[in-house]
Amino acid sequence: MYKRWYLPYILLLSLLVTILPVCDVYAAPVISTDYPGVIVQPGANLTFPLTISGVSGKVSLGVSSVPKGWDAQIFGDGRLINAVFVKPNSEVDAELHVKVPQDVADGKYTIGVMARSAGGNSLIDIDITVNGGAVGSDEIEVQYPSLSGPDTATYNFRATLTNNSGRSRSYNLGVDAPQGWQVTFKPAYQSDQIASLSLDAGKSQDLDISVDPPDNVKAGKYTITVAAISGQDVAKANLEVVITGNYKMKVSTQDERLNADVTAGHKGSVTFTIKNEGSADLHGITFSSEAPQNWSVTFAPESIDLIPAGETRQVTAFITPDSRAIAGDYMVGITASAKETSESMDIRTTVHTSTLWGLVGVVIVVAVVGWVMWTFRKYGRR
Amino acid sequence: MKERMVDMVLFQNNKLNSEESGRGPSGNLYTIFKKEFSDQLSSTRFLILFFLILITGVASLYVAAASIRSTVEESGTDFIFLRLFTTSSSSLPPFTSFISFLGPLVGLSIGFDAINGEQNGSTLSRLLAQPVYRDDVINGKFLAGLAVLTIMTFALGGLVSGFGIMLTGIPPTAEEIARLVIYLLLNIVFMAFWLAISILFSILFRQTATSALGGIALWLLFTVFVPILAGPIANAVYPVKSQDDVISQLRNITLQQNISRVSPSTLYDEASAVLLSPGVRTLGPILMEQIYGATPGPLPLGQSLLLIWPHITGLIAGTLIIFGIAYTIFLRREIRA
Repeated sequence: MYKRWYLPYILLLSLLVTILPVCDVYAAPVISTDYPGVIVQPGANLTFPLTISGVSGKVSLGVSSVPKGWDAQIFGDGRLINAVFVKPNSEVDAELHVKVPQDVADGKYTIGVMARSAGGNSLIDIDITVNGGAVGSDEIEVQYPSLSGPDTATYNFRATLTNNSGRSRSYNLGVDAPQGWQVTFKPAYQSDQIASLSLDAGKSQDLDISVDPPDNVKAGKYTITVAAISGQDVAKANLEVVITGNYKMKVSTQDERLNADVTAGHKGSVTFTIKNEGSADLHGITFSSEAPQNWSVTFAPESIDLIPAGETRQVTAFITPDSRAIAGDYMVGITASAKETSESMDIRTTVHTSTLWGLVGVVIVVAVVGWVMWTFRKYGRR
Repeated sequence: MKERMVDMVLFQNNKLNSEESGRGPSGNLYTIFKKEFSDQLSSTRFLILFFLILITGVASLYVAAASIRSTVEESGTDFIFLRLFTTSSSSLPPFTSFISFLGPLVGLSIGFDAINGEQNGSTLSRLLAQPVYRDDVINGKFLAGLAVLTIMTFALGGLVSGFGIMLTGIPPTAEEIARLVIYLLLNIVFMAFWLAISILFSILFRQTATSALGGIALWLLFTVFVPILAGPIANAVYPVKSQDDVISQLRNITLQQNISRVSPSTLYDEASAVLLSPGVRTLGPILMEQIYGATPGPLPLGQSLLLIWPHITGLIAGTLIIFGIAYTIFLRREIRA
């Protein structure tokens, strides 16, 4: 009856032996990250979420291999760490921050992360392929990057900012423009100006970029660089504004008085100035006049080939009224026509009759009176 | 006053006799002319008339000054000098209308007591007792009146022209001056017509008041009633039954115009209009077919003169006929002291 008493013990032992390896005290930790292979631009800042599991107790963490000049550190909850404590049957998250140098050559680089516990070591290799071809970086896309028009207009560009970083990010918006240019950012279809915005990973935001050139800016091509800056990443776009120049001419007299005195039948002169108030040059300026019948208006110089922007030229108009014009005020219109624009002014011309004929009139009157007087004296009763 | 005429005649005769030149009628004619002329010039009547005319000239010049600018704007500066005489405003008639109204009055007032005044002063018989031809008396008086009218007209024309040139500063062209001078001569002829009528009346009527009133009555008849009566008479002769009856309309208008032309005032008005407005091409009705294709423009002086030649000759002839009648009556009349 005592022949099989050890059987239960054998069973128990064999069970124990079977179960022992399952127990994690003597196992190596498991370290993992979701994407152990990434493609980045030089100068990128990378963040790899790490998960440590498979053991319980303290696990040391460290970067075992890193390319020369690279910077790789492990953070946990925002602090630099070198170990984590894993509770039984759970896992711990940490982050590997990698800073790719700007001047690194394209190619494949590896960073090793080592986790060590009492039960052993485990190593994970993260492959980082550096590619200057900007894949996966944030970008600003502009629909029509070149606009043209006069200096008085405001130019609206429609741009799209896309977050390609795989993380939600906040961007500061910046601009590099020539002096005096005003650039504002607004979310599309909204009126609020913004200076920064947040974007979830993979999302994009339409932006209205309005560019207001300073008044009277010279005609030409101007480049404005807008940038969305998030940490070390900069997404840039170049906007081009071609100012076609506006044509504005001002015709006035030197002292702003618009009147002239002339004598009937005699040449009188009015000096007036033509100012190019536009931002572009004026070419081939000719003059014409609108005056009463039989008046003649000539100009010296007769035409001007070129007035550069902002400059002034003097012209003299010689107004000769009709020799039979009656004294009084007349309107003489003077028009300066450039190829691009024209401008006119009215000069109130006061005609004085020739003093000679006034004198003749006086002589006639005096002669008549004298003749009548003489008749009376000669024939009247004395 | 009238005695002096006798003395002058005597003095003149003595002088002529002493010079042993043949006694020509012109010597006495000149004496009487001079005496009559100085009498006219120094009379209050003449002064009143002269100032009346002067005020007229000033008024029409004022009108011209006020409205000449707008006239020029409408129709350019052609014949601007002549427009001084024809420009009217809403308030005042032009120079020509004034003269056509006042001219007869001047002519009448100068001659209405030419002969009967002398008779009433009983100087005529004394004058005719001298060796003076009788026709020298009436000729001298008529010529003296004519001289007064000439002075008055040309003084007025000269004053208006002078002030007008001062005002506008525009020298008149040769044609304008010619037209103005002819217009002034027309004025003289027109006034002379009335002068002749008034001398005739002063022979016909003994009382100066009667001759003056007779002249004024005739003047009113010619200036007011003849043009008014012309219409009804023409309507009676050629009644216009319908608007379609062009022939009778034309005859009606023509007759009306011809009746009006019996009056020297009408002749004078038409003549002065043609002279001072070179744009006037015709007087009287014209048919549409006559103006077809006509472009408006001024007539040359010669053509204007041809247009009014009948008027001028009519006025001159009328003046001479009336003066001739007066002359004949005066020469045949028996004059008693």
